Formats: sequence, C-alpha cells, structure tokens
Amino acid sequence: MNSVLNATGVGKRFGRVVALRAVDIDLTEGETLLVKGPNGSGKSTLLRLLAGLTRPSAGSVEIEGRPPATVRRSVGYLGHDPYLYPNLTAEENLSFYSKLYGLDESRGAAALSSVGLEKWNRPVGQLSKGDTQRAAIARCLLHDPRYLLLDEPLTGLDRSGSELVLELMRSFSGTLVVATHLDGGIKASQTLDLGTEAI
Amino acid sequence: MKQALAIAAKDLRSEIRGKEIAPAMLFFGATLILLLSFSLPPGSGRAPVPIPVAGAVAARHVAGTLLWTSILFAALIGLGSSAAIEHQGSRIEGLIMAPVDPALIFIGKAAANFVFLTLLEAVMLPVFVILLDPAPGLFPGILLVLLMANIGLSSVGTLFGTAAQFSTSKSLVLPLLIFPSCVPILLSASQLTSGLMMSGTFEGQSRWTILMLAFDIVYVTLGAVTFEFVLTE
Repeated sequence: MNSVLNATGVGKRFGRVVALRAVDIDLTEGETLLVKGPNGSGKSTLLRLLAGLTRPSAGSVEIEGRPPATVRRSVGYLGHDPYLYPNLTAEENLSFYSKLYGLDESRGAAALSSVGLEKWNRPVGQLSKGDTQRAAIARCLLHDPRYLLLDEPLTGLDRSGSELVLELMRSFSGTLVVATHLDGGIKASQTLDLGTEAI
Repeated sequence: MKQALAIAAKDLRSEIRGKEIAPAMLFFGATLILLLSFSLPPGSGRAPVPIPVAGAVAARHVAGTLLWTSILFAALIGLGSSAAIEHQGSRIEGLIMAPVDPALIFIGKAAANFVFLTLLEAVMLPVFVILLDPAPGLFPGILLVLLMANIGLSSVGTLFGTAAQFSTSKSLVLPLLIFPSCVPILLSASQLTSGLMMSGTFEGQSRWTILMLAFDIVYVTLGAVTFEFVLTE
C-alpha cells in the first residue's frame, strides 16, 4: 500500500534548544502509530509538526504527498489544550466548529454523544477536566477526519472515559497517531519510542 | 462569509456571557471622557453660540481630539483583551486547524471588534454630549465619523492585537504597533469631529474624509492579506 503520512528526518529546534531530533515516519492508510517517550522527549512537538502547526527546522512532513497545512480538512488534532471557549457550552463550541467546517450544526450534538458527554449544555469553563477532554475529543472527530493526531488523549479521563476513548481509537478507520507516555490498551501497527532518541 | 459571521457571533456571545472585554473598556472610556470634558467650559460645544462662552471656540477646536484620544486609550484595552482571549489556551490553533481562509478569520474578529468599539462609543458619546452640549444637528455627522473610524481601528486592532500575542512582550508590543498605525485615522477623525463642532458641516473637510476612508481600505486589505502570515509561526 502507498504511504499516506510521511516524515523524513523531521526535527525541531527552538533557538539553541533541540526539541526533536530527526525522526522518520512512514504510515499507510489505516495504520496506527504509537509515539512513546518520557516528558520532554518531543512527542507533542512531533504531533504539532504532523499537524502543520509548527514548521520543521529540518526534514519534511507530507500527508497524501502534500504539506500538512494544505490538508487540514482531513486532519483531526488533539493537543494539550482543548481549543474550546470557556464561556460557551460544549454544544455551542461544537456548533461553532461545525460552521467553520461547513457542516450541519446537528453534527456537534452527535459528536458529543459519541464521547458520552452528558453536560453538553454547561459552559466548558465549568466542566471537569475529564468532561473538557471528552468535548475536545468530540471536536477532533466532528468532521470525520481521515487522519487523527492525538496527544495524550487519556489525560484527565476516568476509567469509563478512557475505555470509551480507547474504543473510539480502535474503531477509527483512518490513520492514527497517538502520543502518550502510557500505552496500555492502544493497539498500534508501528511504535516510535522517542525515549531512546531523546534529546 | 458564513465562517466570518460565525467567528464574530462566537466572540460576541462569549463576551455577553463572560464580560471579559466590555466592562473595563467602557468604565475606562467613560471616566476618561468625563475627566477631559470637565476641562472644557460648559456648553462650549453649542454652535452657534448665542452669547459666546469664554474659550468656547478653542474648546470646540480641541473637542474632537479629546473624544478620540479617550476612544483610543479605552479601545486599546478592549482590542488587546479580544486578541488575548483567542491566544489563551492556544484557541487560535483551533481556528488555524479548521479549513477557514485566514482572511475570513480576520474579517470575523475585526467585525466583533467593530461592535465592541461601537458599544464603547455608545457609552462615551452621551457623556461627551451632556458635558459639551453640541447642537443636536451634529449628531448624525459625529456618528458617521465614529463608524468610519471604527472600520480602520477595528482592523488595525485585530491585525496588530493578534500579532502582539505572539510576542513575549505583549504589553509593550501592542501599543508600539497600534498607536503609530492609528495616527492617520485618529487625525482624520479628530479633525472631522472638531470641524463639525466648529462649522456644523463637513464642508472643507473632504481631505480628512478621503484620508480616513483610504486608510480604512488599506487596513482592511492589509489585514485580510497578511493575517495568514500573522497566524503562522
């Protein structure tokens, strides 16, 4: 099969600080890559590079043969921040993102239901960390992305929330990259351990 | 354009709920115009003055400058906060990751800032009117100047407010970028306002109107074209 997500010698420096040393990734459609490593090993930086939110200092990233910034419609990205507005309810946040993606507003409610968020009508600022994480995951899945980039997706989730998100990852049919320092329950076709390549 | 409207509506709804921008901006603006207006002779804005109040003519000369200086300082609070909200929690990245033309993000954010500025002026103007007592016939003209200036100010504020957020010295960079950029708009607006207060018409003020409209067009275009580069690392 043809590779759909490629990183060739991709690295990142912030001034004199090396955040990520040259990494190679080659994923075909439907594969799951588990990125492991201790804090500070560059997992988040790698995912930001794959999402096109940061420019590489060395090497290149391509999704479907193109720079990531040009295929964002196909990418769902969950970073450390939920990208949700605290004064708006979870439903209003998802409705807002539905409009940005040109989707029907009802998609927001469906996405929230898929992550089991019951307090969808409460301002996000009043939600627990776990519920905020559920809403953030719903935001990533809202537009049915073909590529899902998840940075520590189980953060703040209780046992039932973690199981639900793991099930969502297992049933995801696209290409998945998950960065975590806890790999329990994630079935990956490839593993990249940045701990051994750490800075 | 629906996406720009969604961004503007989101900003306004968020502000109505959270009241993070308007209260500080409105109180500061109202206080500033109140203090500055007290330095002018009461009733000096009325034109024609049946029995000229001492200093009335000079007061009308500076009235526009006082009004626009107050608006600028109060607006700076609001424009900075508006941009900061998007950068807190890296929410701007949520907008960047969505398939939205950066020009539309700029237009949506600028439209919300336009509403915030208009709201600010809706509070400041009555204070100005009560204390300076301009003739009621001048109100439509003053409103027109306010709306024309708001286009440029909201564009400059959105563009440079966002750019400043990427700096480690936001509070220093924001005024450094905004103050000089606002000079042509504020100069035109204060001249047009003072001219109205003096003569009651826009007659002989066409150069200031042209200057303001030209900078409105320049800043809207500049914002729409360059916002992509402002948002990228």
